[in-house]
Amino acid sequence: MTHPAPHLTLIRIFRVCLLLLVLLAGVSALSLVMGPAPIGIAAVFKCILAAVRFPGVSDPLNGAERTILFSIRVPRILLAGLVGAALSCAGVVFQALLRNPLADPYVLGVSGGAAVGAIIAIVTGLGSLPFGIPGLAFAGGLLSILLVWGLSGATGERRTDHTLLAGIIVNAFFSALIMFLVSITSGEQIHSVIFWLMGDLAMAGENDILLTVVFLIAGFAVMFLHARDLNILLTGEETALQLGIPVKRTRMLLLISASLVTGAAVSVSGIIGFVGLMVPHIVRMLFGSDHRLLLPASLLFGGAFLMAADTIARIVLAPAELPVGVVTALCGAPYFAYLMKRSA
Amino acid sequence: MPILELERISFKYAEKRVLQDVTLTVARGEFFGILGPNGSGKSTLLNLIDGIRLPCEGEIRLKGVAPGKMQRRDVARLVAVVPQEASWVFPLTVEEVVLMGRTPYIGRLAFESERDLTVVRSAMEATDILLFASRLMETLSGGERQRVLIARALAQEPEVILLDEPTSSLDIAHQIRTFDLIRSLSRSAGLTVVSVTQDMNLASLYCDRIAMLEEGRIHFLGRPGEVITEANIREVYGVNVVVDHHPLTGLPRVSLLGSHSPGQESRWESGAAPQL
Repeated sequence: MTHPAPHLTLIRIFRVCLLLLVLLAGVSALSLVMGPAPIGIAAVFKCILAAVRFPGVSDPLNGAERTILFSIRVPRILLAGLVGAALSCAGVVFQALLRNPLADPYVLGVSGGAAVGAIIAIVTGLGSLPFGIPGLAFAGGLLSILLVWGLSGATGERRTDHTLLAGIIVNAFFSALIMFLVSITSGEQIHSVIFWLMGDLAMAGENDILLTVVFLIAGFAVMFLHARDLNILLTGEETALQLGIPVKRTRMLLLISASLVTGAAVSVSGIIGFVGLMVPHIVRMLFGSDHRLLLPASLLFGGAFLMAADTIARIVLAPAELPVGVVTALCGAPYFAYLMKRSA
Repeated sequence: MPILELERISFKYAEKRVLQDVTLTVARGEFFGILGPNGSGKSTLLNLIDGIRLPCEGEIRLKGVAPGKMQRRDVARLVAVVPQEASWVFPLTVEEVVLMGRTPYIGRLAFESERDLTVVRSAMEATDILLFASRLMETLSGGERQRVLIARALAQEPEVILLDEPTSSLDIAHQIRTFDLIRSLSRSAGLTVVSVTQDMNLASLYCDRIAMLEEGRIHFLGRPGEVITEANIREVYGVNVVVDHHPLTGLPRVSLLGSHSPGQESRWESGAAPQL
């Protein structure tokens, strides 16, 4: 190509986001009608129209179907979208800050740290306080990313392979902590603890959705305000300083916001791996590395991605269900291997 | 007032003295060269000037203000740095990288203005990289990447440009073109240039003044003719060279000598020649 590349404009961001919104709407419509109980798309539409008192439309669903739709599928789809969006944005930020395209909240041990926080909240009863579980999950996630950061920079130069090694070490430590907590936990609590280990969206409740929305909006706002800084940080911290970015403050704010959204996602859905790895990478291949587009695009695409994964988890063994974490790991781990091979 | 003043600067890195008692002033529009063996503290000196590292002792003033006390954004409008090499882990296009030079001028939520794009375009023109503006950094050769980094620094519209061995991966045509460009900016727009280099002939040709560093101290400071001499190079680098005059410019010209060159037998007196 000999002509200058078109630089990023607001119009392009709108166009891409609109496209991804259409995708998101399509995937959510599909997830709504997929499931063991057969509810057709036309019936769903009529039901929604009737619910908003659209003239001349009567609700074709019976009571059980309506319950399945609004009390089970809708919350679950909403939560899948929110958790997918949160993990993807966190992945974008971790990848940029660590300058490592293989970074992801799960691989780095941030999800593990958040799960330990959440489990401690349940076991100690702190979970009954408002924001108890997500609060401790956030603290656990932040602690692990700071550990990874410290460990990978311990030799002076921050090296890509050191980051992943540090992630493995932190992850191993938190996994051991989780096992320890599981083994000392009594009967009635064990079920909610096991839930965190699998990564599952089945228990979506209204409060979970509200909480994830609030954390995601707050975290994403901070990330998006620093989108240009993230671009510069891709070229290294020294360069970022030379181009006028106050690196320390910016990095801390971004680490906090990425841990915040990870903590929220983990506290409502458990450990769902590899979403934050695959989504940013695919979006980057499609639309480039500029974070002003990469962040909102990953938000939307990540939402659609986890909705689709969760739909697969719901229907593949119907009427039994898979935890969605199994689905994402089954496609994510080979993808990780592929990325590693390509970057080697 | 000189644009850049260093007063009795010392810098230690983990108990190791890197710079010691460096005093230096650079005038606006000057083309200043820094020579010295590997590990003599040249790159650290650049880091101190742009405030990325802080001196342990002494004072640095950029237009009268210590860079360590300024906002990074204000430093970046004043000083641009061309690093030796950068790594490109993520796919970024040439234009995206050059646009990064405008960072200190663009607001948090603003997009690039027409003026930003004009500045970027002319920086790419000047460095001869417009043809591959849309290519990814990782697909370029080392020399091409170097020119992109120079374009990014020019896009910052700095008053001072710091170059860390800017020509090390360039062919001679682009070495000359790059230094010609930077020199013409320093003459016409008053750009102050501080360049670390290993190439004494280039330094001799372009620099107004040169500092020769050894083990963190300025050993020699002055015009190229005063600094680049056989005796000084023997003292600082411990090698024999021939310095004569460039046939056209009359500036010092350095010719290297190998141990097999005529007249070099005396270097290895009384059987001290290296045994292989």
